[in-house]
Amino acid sequence: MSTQPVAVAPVPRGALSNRVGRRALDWAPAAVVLVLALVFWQESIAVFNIKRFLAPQPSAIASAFWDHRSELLRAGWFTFQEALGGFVIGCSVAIVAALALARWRGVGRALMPYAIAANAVPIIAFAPITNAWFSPFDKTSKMAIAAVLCFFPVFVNTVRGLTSVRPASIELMRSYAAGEIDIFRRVRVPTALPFVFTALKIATVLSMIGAIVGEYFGGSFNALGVLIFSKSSTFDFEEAWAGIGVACAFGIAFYLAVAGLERLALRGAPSTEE
Amino acid sequence: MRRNVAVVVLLAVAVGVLSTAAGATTRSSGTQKLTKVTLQLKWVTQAQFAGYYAAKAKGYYKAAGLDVTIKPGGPNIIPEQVVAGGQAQFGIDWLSSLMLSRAKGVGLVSISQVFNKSGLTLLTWKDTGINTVAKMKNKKVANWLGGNEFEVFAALAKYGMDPAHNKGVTIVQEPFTMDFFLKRQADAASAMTYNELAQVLEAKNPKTGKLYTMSDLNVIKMQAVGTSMLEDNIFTTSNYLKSAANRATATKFIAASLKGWIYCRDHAKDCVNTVLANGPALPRGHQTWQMNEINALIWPSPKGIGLMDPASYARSAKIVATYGKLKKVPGHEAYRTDLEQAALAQLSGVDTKGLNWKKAVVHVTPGGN
Repeated sequence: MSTQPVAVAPVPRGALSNRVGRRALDWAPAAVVLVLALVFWQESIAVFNIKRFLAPQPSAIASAFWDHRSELLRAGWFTFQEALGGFVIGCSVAIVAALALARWRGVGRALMPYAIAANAVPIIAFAPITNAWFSPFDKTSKMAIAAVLCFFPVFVNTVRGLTSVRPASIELMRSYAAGEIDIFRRVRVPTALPFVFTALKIATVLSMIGAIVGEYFGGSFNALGVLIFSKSSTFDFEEAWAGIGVACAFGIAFYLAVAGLERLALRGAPSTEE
Repeated sequence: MRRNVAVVVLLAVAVGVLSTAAGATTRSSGTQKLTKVTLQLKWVTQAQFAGYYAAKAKGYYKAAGLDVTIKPGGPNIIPEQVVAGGQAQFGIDWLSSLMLSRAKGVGLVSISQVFNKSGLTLLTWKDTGINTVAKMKNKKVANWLGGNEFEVFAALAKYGMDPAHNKGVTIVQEPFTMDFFLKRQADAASAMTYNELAQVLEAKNPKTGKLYTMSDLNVIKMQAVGTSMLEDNIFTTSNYLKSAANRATATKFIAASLKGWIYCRDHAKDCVNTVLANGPALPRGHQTWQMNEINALIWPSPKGIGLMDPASYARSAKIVATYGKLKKVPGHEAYRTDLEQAALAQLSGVDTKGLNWKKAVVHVTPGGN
């Protein structure tokens, strides 16, 4: 009988079942914390006799969600469309601007201060203005806010990515007599992709925030922000919290979708997994 | 060790700051003998609350032994939450919000129904031809929501629409300025006679270069449609009224406030000046219009200012129960008249009914200046 320790055979990287198994275990601590937090919330409301209008119990929120699920989900979808539209617009403009800046450095020097200014605009102050420019009841005014919020992180990160290429790679390309477009396509863009995706993931959350905050200042009755505001004004806090939960869910789903896209796009790249 | 000391010192400072900022108490201050109370208004400083500002400026509160702090409201400030949270002893809001909060277990009670008529209207442009609520079918109707929509919803439902589910009519949440209405982005807009209507009239018609006039608009009053509800009232928490001292304070507060409103009935211009001295957002011309319209919602007050009319109350309760989806129609418990009647008794010899009051004609100024 051999008592020598046997090295565990390395798991083939592509094995799906093992991937899922590892992933599930990774989530276990977070899941435990979530359950404990919910239980604590539920019990402390009862124990400390906290007034309903200050913080409802998770069970009350869950039942309010279930009772109004179609209204809440429809509102969530409506607001998500605004967030998505703003995300697409903001990120596209940001990426195009970043490409221009990386190609022509002079343009970059001209644009960068304005990008920083765009980031400094307090969004709450901006929302009534977009409501005046576009109709407060259309999706466009909220898309504008989401787009402004998404612009800066994506712009800055894309610029960083496009310009943080190793000089040796550029020299190599030049030695092959590669044109600017080739350099972009083969070196700069692949280098920039991880940066871009990081920024896109940030932008998903920001776009959702922008859409909802914008709706506080006027919007369609079908919108999630309007619903949350309206319900909390009429003391329907269970529904308001349920609405907040729906907003979080959409934001998280959006984030995961972009993260999944990142995984696909960066499959060939050297592993950056934790 | 040094870090722990620093933390303790910081905590002590924080506690000290928080406790001094903890707001008014009803303990009489030893040297001044004035009871400190805080009033939370429903909206920003404007003539809608002139009576309270006048009572403070003319010394009525002080004469009653009260040191009143008036807190203006604004978007996202819900007076019921401020009062229930203890940051104010008294609040001004619409009866509908009070009933909703009571239904959710918040122990508030109305102690004086100052406005006896509703100032809510639906505005449309005359050239659209939408001059009745019935013609608003399948149109876009705007309201601020958040508890202000019940009169409008009841009116729309009266003519067969289902506004709560956006059926037969499209409901949109309107912003706090009337730009959207001027740009015709909605077919009908909710407007108070004393505020938003004036904002429209103070705007210039780009086509004529002159101000808009009443002949450009259809002003459909909820009072005329029959779905009006009671609006501005003074409320407090039931807990607050448990002690006799607080009940006495509340009675004095009501009496002094009503005295302020009576003064504003008889001296409208002086009250406009008082409001202006408190830094309102909108200027003199607008406040003059508003003072006049607010007086129209209070006077004449056949039973005496502030006394609840049971019939209006019952109508309001029914509308809130239907559109606020309450389990039962709010009963008599939502308001009490004992303190109000005691306050009116304190005002004997003063005209609390204003039966001879006549509405003035106010000229609209551009931009409300």
